[in-house]
Amino acid sequence: MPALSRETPEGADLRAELLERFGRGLTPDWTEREFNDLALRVFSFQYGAVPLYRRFCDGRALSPGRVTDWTEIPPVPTSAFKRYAFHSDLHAVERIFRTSGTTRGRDGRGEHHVADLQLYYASLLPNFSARVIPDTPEPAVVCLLPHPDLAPDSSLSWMMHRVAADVRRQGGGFFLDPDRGLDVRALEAELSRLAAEGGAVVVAGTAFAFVSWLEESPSWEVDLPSGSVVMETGGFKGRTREVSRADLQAALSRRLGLATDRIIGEYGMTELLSQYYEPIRDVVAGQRVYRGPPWLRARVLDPATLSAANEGETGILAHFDLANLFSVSAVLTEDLGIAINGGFRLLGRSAEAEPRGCSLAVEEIARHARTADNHAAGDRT
Amino acid sequence: MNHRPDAAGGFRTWSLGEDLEESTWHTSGGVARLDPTAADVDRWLRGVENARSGAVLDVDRRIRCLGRIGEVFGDPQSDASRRALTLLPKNAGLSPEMAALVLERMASTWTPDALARLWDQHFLDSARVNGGSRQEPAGVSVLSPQLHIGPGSVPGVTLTSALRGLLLGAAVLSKPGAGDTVLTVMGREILERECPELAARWAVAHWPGSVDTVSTALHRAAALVVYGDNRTVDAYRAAAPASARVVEYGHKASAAVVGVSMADEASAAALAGAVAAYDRRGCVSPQVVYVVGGPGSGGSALWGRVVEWGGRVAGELAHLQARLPAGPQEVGTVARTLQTVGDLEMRAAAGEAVRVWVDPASAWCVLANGTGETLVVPQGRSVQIRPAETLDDAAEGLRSWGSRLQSVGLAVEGAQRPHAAARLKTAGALRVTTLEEMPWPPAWWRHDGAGGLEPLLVAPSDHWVNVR
Repeated sequence: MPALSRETPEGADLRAELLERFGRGLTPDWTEREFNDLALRVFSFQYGAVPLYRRFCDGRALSPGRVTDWTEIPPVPTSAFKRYAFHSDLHAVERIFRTSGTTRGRDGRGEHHVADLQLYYASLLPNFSARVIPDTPEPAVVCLLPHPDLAPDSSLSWMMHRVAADVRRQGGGFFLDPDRGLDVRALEAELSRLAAEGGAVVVAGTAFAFVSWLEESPSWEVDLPSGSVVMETGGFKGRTREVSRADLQAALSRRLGLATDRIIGEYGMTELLSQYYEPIRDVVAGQRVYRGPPWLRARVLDPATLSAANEGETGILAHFDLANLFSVSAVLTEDLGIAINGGFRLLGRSAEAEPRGCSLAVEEIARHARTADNHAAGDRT
Repeated sequence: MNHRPDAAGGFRTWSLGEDLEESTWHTSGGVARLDPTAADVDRWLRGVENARSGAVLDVDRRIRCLGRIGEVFGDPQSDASRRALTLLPKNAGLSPEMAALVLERMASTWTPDALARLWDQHFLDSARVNGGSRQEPAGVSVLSPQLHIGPGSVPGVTLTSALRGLLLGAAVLSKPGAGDTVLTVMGREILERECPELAARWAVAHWPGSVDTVSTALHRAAALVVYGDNRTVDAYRAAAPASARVVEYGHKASAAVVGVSMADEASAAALAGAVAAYDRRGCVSPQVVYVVGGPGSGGSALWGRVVEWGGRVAGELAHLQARLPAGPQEVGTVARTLQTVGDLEMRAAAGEAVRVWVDPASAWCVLANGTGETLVVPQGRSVQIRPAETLDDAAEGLRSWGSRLQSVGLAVEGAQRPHAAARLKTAGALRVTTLEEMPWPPAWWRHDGAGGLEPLLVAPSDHWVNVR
C-alpha cells in the first residue's frame, strides 16, 4: 500500500501546522501574507496529491510554480463534486459527506471525501465558539436535524454532534428523523424543560425545518433563557415553500422568546470543512455579515470580469478553505453574495436565469431521455 | 408617453419613453407596464376589428404601407432606426453592435420587396403574372381579429408575425414579450405615420403575466398566434375557445452538419456567426454540430479534426466578441456558466473525450464532444461539436430530437448536398440551409414547416374547430 499523502513530509507538516494554528482560535486574525503563504503551500500539496485536480489545473495552464497569489488558484466548481471524488488518498477516506440533493433528486448529490476528520473538528469548534456562543460557554444544544447515526453522510449533523458533545451540558439532542420528520412533541418538551432549568440553549436547524415546525404547531411558545441563540442554515433550496428570512426570524423570535438579534445565520457547504457565520456579536451590534475563521476566505466575483467585485456589488461566491487540505481547497459555488466590510451578505443561489429566446436547449431534449441529471446544484445535509 | 386605451373602446399604441429609467416603465424593457383585464383585451380586439371594417386597402397598398416599416428601419439615417438602436440593446439585452445587425437583417425581411415575395410565394395569380395588381386570394378568407403572443427576447419576431396578419388584411393585437417591445411598438408608430388607416387595425400592448388574466377575452380572437416555451403555448391552447385557430411556434433547437472536408476557416467563421447571432437565442441558431468524416473515418483521426476545427470556431467566436460582442449576462447566468464550464473542464481532466474553449469573461464557449452523449453547454454563444462517422449517424442523432428539431445548417461538398438534405429531412429537419443563413431566414420561409400565411387563412369548407 502506498504511503498516505498526509504521511509524506509535506502533508504531515501542513497538517500539523494547520491543526496547531486552528487551535489558536480566531484571534489574532491572520495577515493576508500569512494566509497566502499557507494557501500556496496547500495548493502545491493538492496539486501533487490529487491527480484529477492537477490535470484540471494543467488544463488551465496553472501550476504551483505559476501561481503567486491564492486568488489565482483554480477553483473546482461544486457541480464537479457530483461526478468526481477529490481526495489525496482513496484508501484513507474516513467519511463521505453528501449534499442533500433536494434540488434535482438524489442522483445529483455531491460528495466530499474526507480523509481527516480531525481537521474538520479542529476547524469547526473554535469558530463555533467564537461566532455563535462567545458569551455562552456551556449551552444545551437542540438540533432540528437528524442524529448522525440516522444520517451518516450529513456533514451538518456530524458537525453539530461534535459541537454538542464538546459544549453541551445535559439535555438537548436531535429531533429530526429523515424518514418520519420532526418529532415536535419531544422537541417542544425538551425546550420547555431546558427553559425551566434556566441555562442557555442553542437551537440549530435548517430554515426548512424551522418552517415545518412553525407550521406544525403554530401556537406553541416558550421563553428561552437569556443567552440562548438560534442558528439557522440551509435555506429552502428545492423545497416547495419559501418564507422570507425576516418573516422566519420574526416567527422564531415570538416562538422562543428571543430578540431577533439572537438569531444568526450559518453558511456552510458539504464541500467545505469550515463554516461562515453571522457572528452573534455583530448581529447584536446591528450588522449581519457572514464571516469565516482566518483559515477560510471568500471571494465575491464580478460576473463580468471574474475578478473581485466591488464592495456592495453582487457577485459569485468562491471559497478557499485550508481545512480541506486532503481534498481541494478552492471551491467555486453557484451562490451569490455581496462583499461588505470584510465579509459578505449571502443572497443564496440564483434561480438559474431562464433561458432567453425561443431556442430550446439541446440538453433539455437530452434530459427527457435521461432521468439522471449530473448538473444538479448541491445542497448541504 | 404611454396612453391607456380610452374608455370609448378605441385604442392607441403603446409608445416608448425616452427615459427608460423612469419608474413608470417596466424595468426590463422600456414599455409601460399594464395590468389589463380581460375586458381591456376584449375591447382592444374589438377596436382593431372595427377599424378593419372601416377601410378597404388592396393588397399592393398593404404591401407598400407595411413595407415602409422595413424601409424606415433599414435606413440607418432615419430617426426611427437611430432611436431603435438607442433603445434596443437595453430592451433586448443585446450589445449595441448585435442590435444593429439584428435591426439590419430583420428590416430586410420587412421591405416591400420581401413582403411582395412572401405574398407571391403563396398567391401568385394570373393577374399578377400579366402585370396587373395583386388580388385577394380566392376561395379563402383571413381569420380576424388575431391575437399574437410574441416570444420573450428575440427582437423582431413579434413584428414579423404581425406583418403576416396585416398583410393578409387581418386586424391584429400584438403582445410582444418583454424583450421585443421596441421594434414592435416602433413598427406600429411608423405605420401610424405612413398609413394610419392600416395602423388603425393594429394594436400593440405588452403586459406581464400569463394567459390567465385575459383568457375570457380569447373568444373574441379568430386566431391566436403563440410563440414561447411549451408552458406558454400549452396555456394558450388550453384557454383558446374551439372557435379560435391556435397557431403555435413553440421552442425548437437547431443543429448543423459539416463534412470533414468542409471543416475549414470559412465554415468555422460561418458557424461562429450563426452561433453569435441573437446570442444564440433564436431557435434557428445551431447548438450542436456534427462533423461527418465519412465511412471508416471514426476514431482518433476524426476526433483530431473535430478538435482542430473546434479551436478554429473558438478563434472565430473570439474575433466576433471583439467586433460583435455578446450582450450582458445576468449574474445568475454567469454563475451557472462557470459551473458548466468547470464541469466540462473536469471531464477533460478525467480523460473523457472532451475539449473546451471558453471566453475569459464567459461570453462564449465551444465544446468538442466525443463522449457520444449530449453534454450541457452554457446558455448564450455556446456550441458543441461532435464527430459522426457517417451522415446517417448524424441524422440519427438529430432524429432523437423529435419534433423539437428546427433548422439544420449544412456544409458538405456540393454533389452531396441533395442527398444530405433529403436525409436530414427524413430525420425531421424543418429547414436545411447554409451555415451563414441559419439565423437569418427570409420573410417567405416556412416557419416550423408551415407557410407564413396559410395558417391564418380559412376556407369556407373548413370546420371551425381548434386546430393544433
